[in-house]
Amino acid sequence: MPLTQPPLDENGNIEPHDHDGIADGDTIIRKISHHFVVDDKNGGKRLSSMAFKASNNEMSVDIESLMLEDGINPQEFVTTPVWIGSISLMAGAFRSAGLMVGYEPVEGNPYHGEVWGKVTSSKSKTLAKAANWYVPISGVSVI
Amino acid sequence: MSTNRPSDLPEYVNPPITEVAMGIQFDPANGYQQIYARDLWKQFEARFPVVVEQPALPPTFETFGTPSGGNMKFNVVTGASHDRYWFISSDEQNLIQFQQDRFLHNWRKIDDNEHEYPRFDPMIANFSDEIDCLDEFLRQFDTEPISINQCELTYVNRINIDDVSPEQKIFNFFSLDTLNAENFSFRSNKEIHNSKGEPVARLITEISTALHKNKKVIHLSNIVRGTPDGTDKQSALDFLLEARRLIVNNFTDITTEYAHKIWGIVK
Amino acid sequence: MTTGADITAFSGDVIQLQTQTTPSVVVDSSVVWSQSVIDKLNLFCRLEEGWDGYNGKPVRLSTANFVIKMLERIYQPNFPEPQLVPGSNGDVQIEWHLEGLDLELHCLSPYNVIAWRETEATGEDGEEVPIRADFRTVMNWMNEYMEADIAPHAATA
Repeated sequence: MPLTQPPLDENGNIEPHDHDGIADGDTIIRKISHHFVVDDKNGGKRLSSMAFKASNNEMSVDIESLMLEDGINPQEFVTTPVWIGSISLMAGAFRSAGLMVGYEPVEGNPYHGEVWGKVTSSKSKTLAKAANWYVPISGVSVI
Repeated sequence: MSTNRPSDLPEYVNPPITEVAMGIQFDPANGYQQIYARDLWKQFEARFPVVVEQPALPPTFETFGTPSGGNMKFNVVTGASHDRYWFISSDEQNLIQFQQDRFLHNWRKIDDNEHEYPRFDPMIANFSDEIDCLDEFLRQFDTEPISINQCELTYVNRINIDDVSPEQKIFNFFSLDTLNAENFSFRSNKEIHNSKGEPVARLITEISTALHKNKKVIHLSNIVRGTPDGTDKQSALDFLLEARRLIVNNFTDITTEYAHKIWGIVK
Repeated sequence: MTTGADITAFSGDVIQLQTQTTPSVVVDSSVVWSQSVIDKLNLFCRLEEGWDGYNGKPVRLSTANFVIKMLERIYQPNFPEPQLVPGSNGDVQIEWHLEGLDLELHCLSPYNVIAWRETEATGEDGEEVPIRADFRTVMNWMNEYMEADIAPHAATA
């Protein structure tokens, strides 16, 4: 079911919101840049907490259900030669951390969403624990 | 902008000031390029018709931790470098310094016998207007208001040794005669804390001998450099006002009553 | 450290303009990893818009230079090389993942750093401290780690 239009501010920009059309059980995808891969303490590789931090209290994501409704293969959509991996969380995991999950289509990506709110380092760790690889990067653990 | 000079702040009729510089450091505006500096100069051209190019100043930050920054010292300069421009007044007393992340106004004493120090309060009032001008100019590149991350106030004094009789001292903590040195230099750093007790700035005092018109003089400079409470213009001005208070008090504290009388202390 | 003399007009004689070249880095350091830190920061400042697959911006030059200053302040000999990770809004994080210590310094902008560490003592939630200019807390954390790290080695010596 298409998501309803998100709320707009007086300048026509989408306001931070928690969209009730995005269920807690909906899969939220986040592309992972290779810049987020760091060495862990055991000689292996892991994701930095920056992969789960909201710079300027905003974190871009993609909404799986919208892609499926449009007949798009989500794994193909989020994977490119540049962004070879992605992780996923349930929308409810973000909300349990006190964050809002909203719908924010942008030019070139009608499936784009946004997670709003402050993400501390400990909160980013909570999100990392709730995350799984959607398209894994070989040899890299999520946490 | 109106400022009230603190009533308890020492004041001098003839302070040995030869230069005052007040400045801000800010985040470069997204989309700004050096070619547009000409447009900023147009805003100041009537008062500052002469332009000179200088090497850029590196970014500075007053941080606190390992004394003297430890063994690691490096700068990073990336992207196209931006010259520093001086916009100079016809009489050369005043100049504005501009580069992509710095903006300063200097007053300097050009002729020993003329051009009295204009005093801090009119200077900061002008500087406030000049920052408004800069902000308006930068908004064409970045809709965000100017984000100031550091402020700096410098007072440079030139003390003629001949003005002081050999038996008298200029500084409270040492005597030139006792030192009996060919030349010397001295530097001290003092942490400045905000109302929460956090270190946010430094007061740097530098004293050195120099020659001016073949006469031996002492250069005394006081610099306060640090981060204001907020990133807006008013926070920067508040910082500079407090910096003035620190500098004037420090100048008074480290110099002798004898020297104060020579400089015409009024309170 | 830049002194007032650098910004005063008297000290600024007119000199020839420097040639515009590719970014220059001046390294005066006995720290073996300082060049790789510089290289990383230079790289991050040149990231293309959208580098993160969304709206990611390059690291801001002022933030990169502040990180340099921060590392100067906290540097201690024998402490391992940091890892650097860009943020989406011009920010950057310096982090270490060591046995007994996870340490992250998230530099959002100059004078705006969130320091966080996790140790056995802090537990999984860790300990978070906002920092403007005073990095002595971070230095203390690093000292604690090194003293704890050294002690077991001494016991077995």
